[in-house]
Amino acid sequence: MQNDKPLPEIDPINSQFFKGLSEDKLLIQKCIKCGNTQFYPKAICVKCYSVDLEWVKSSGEGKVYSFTEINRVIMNSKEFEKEVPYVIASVELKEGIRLYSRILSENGKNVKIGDPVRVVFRTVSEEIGLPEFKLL
Amino acid sequence: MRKVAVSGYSIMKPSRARKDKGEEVYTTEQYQAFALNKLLDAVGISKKNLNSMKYGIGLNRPMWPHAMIWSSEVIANLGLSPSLTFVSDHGGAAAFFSMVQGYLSIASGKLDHFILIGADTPMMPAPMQSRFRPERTWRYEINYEMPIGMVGPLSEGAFIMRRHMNQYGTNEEQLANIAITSRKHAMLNPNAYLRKPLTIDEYMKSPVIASPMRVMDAVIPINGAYAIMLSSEEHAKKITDRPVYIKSFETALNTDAENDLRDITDLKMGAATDKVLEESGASRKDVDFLQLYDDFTIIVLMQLEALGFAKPGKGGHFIENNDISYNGVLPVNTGGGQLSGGQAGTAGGFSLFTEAIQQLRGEASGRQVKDCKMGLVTGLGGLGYNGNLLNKGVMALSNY
Repeated sequence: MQNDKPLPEIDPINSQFFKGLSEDKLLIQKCIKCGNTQFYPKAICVKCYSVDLEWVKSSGEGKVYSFTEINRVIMNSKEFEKEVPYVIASVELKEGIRLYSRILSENGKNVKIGDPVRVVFRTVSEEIGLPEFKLL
Repeated sequence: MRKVAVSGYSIMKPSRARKDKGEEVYTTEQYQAFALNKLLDAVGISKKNLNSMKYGIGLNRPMWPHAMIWSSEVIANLGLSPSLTFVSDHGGAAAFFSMVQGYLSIASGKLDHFILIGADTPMMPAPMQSRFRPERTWRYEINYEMPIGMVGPLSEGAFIMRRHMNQYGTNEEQLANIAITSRKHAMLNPNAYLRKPLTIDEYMKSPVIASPMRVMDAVIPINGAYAIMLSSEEHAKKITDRPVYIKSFETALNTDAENDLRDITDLKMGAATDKVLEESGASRKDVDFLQLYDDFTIIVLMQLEALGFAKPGKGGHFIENNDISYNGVLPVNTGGGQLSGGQAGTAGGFSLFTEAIQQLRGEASGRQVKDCKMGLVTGLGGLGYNGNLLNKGVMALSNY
């Protein structure tokens, strides 16, 4: 249950991304014309400007590009205070995109830049899942 | 194109709305009125005079009252009938982009004056727009950052800081140096908020909110306001004997837009700086000071690299080996910046411009950069997803 945490606002551009996560799939946007992958989801391929984009399943594998350990919760739900300290990383996926995610770890201080990680899924509702990554 | 100059300015005393400490408790709307009133006093222009001038009004989009303030509502509040209004939504770069808009309106010959009013009151309570934050904020924050527990700009800045430290060996002592030098400058600036000395020990003991970001690496929010009057050269000379000229400016928006694997430690402002200097007929050696947008210490360090004053990755090394005090080899943020001067919400960047103006008019008293003739001011705003700043710009100001 995630009753008092903010949820993404589902719209026509991001609905498949969050729906996919609720079904244990990490879907990323790929341009049918030029093959560019991009994140976060957008209405157009930022590289070739084609509007023909498809959703492809990511390997879910990547490495930590950068990370932070949150010690104090500001400008967000107080619910997160129960979880501090927690680690959030910018994860670079093999498919050539980066996304921000929680890192599941007993001790966040063990995380290092470059560490290999793999996605795990947290289902929040029928329409929404969130990606999390664990250290390999 | 006509030459454009700063013909006047005003600065309101910073406050954290602590009534118990005798601090002023004003709303943004009050600050807008008071800053304009103070500016008109400073330039000796009556309301009646103003009514007969061809001028525009430029505003930042303030955070308070957590709802839109429309430019037409503000002129209604102020009883003004300008020829043109605009609101800058460039976040921290609102001051920079307001200067640009004002410059273009006057340089084109369409208007003679532009009055920029930067005001914001993040310390004032107001009804919340969302359940968790005063504002509804950016779409990418709502969708991809808040649900996983990120804490706004501090956490976005922490990614950049960690990456720079990892990539180049930048260390806490080097970043502390920026915070401490800013504080030394603030102690010499009556318009700065934090004016007690800061020691390396205090910096190291300050809480880590989002590692490696400490409280002392970030700005302190204040309520405050500034007004800047821009005029054509001809008009400016009638108003003041100390005009400060906008020599040149360049912007860098959403750089590296097509690259999802962009280097977040690179602000990519080098080409813009080269062009600004070239158009100003100056080299980096001619730059008497830098007023660098300082949301975080790391962003100041990265600008030293991005503007070409330090080699890429060597910003920390540069700070260790060069004095960035007002009387050093390359004075940086001589008024204390926002780190110690305080950040008046989205109007925070105005303090960097008023500091440059005071320096070039020779009005910086105890922190005056000797014989200064020209300096660079930057504006940065909007921490992008998987990036650094979306709105960036460099401007050269001079007194010749």
